[in-house]
Amino acid sequence: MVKRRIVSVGATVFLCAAACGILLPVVLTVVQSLRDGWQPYVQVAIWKPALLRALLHSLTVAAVSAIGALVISIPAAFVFAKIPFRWKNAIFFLYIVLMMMPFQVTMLPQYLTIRRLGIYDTLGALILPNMFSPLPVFFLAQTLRSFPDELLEAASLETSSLLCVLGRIVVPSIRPGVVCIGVLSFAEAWNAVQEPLILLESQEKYPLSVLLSRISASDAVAMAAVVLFLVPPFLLFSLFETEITEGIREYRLV
Amino acid sequence: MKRWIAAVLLTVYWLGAAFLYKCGPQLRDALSPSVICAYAEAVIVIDQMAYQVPRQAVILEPDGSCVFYVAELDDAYPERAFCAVQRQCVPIAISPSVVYVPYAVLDDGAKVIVVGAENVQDGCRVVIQE
Repeated sequence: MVKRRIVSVGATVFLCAAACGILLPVVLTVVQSLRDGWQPYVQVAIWKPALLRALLHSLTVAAVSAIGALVISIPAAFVFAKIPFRWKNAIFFLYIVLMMMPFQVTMLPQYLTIRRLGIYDTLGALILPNMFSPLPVFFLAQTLRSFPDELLEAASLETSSLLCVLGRIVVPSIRPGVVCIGVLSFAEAWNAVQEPLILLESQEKYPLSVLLSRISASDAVAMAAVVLFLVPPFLLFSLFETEITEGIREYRLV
Repeated sequence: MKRWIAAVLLTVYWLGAAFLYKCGPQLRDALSPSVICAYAEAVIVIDQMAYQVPRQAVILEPDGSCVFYVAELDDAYPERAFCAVQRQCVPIAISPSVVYVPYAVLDDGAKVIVVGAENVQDGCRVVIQE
């Protein structure tokens, strides 16, 4: 009994220390950004148009990527999970292999493809690869495998449109998984650094994730920019906290 | 409730960012005269090595905390400048003529000309005009 209590207290202390270790950089960033009051924030908001422009680029890329990834991945995952066709397992295996590959492996082919498509040095060069990311397809397919076939059969009696079934029956049923994948796709695009460096040439098109390391200003201004960069993912998580935690827990997404 | 607050804050955040980006030039125009006036009296602290006017460009940030950059031009990389204050290389926009007429280019593209510099006890007082 005593031993169990000691282990419990030890685990609590360890987890608290780990939580502090994770939170400390964020707290220090916020404190340092407020060292000169709100002046650094005014500085970023008014006197650093490049940062604001980069912030809007980040939003465009992350939001369109997340929505696009969902639009592409939900039907694709449904097909993988519920519709039998030839080479299905082989193609799905390819998806898994692609998912496991680090960006550095696919970087060069991706760069060449983007150039051939004529979208090099545009925000589309960042959005397009994110939209066709294999990760959402894989996870949603895993989620949809456990979706009851009886429900689909019942829905097919009502309508012959597959899109209708997807939109009215399937998506609402797996809402936590869909929201979770959407937020994860948003976060992935939001935090991307390497892709913009490779696929964009003009610095004025860089998203904020890249520009943060190039701020030539005082520490407080740089930290204020970092805090502003942290706000949207934080608010997005607060907005969809229930779905995200449920999605991660139920569908074992992470 | 928490969800509503997050949704409202997120909306305000993006609308605010879009508004500031759109109306930024007008805001800067409105605020510029007083800011420039403040800079004229600003004192920057630089070390002896960096103080070699006019071999330097004085890069001015519109920053109330008076963090100005005294940049030494790198002959090998004219597009780069050594920042004496932060001790790091930062790519900044400088005209080749900066050696003779030091001026800085702000983020919004506005040029700030350094019209004078004089020694003070521990640094250099810069006088500028837009």
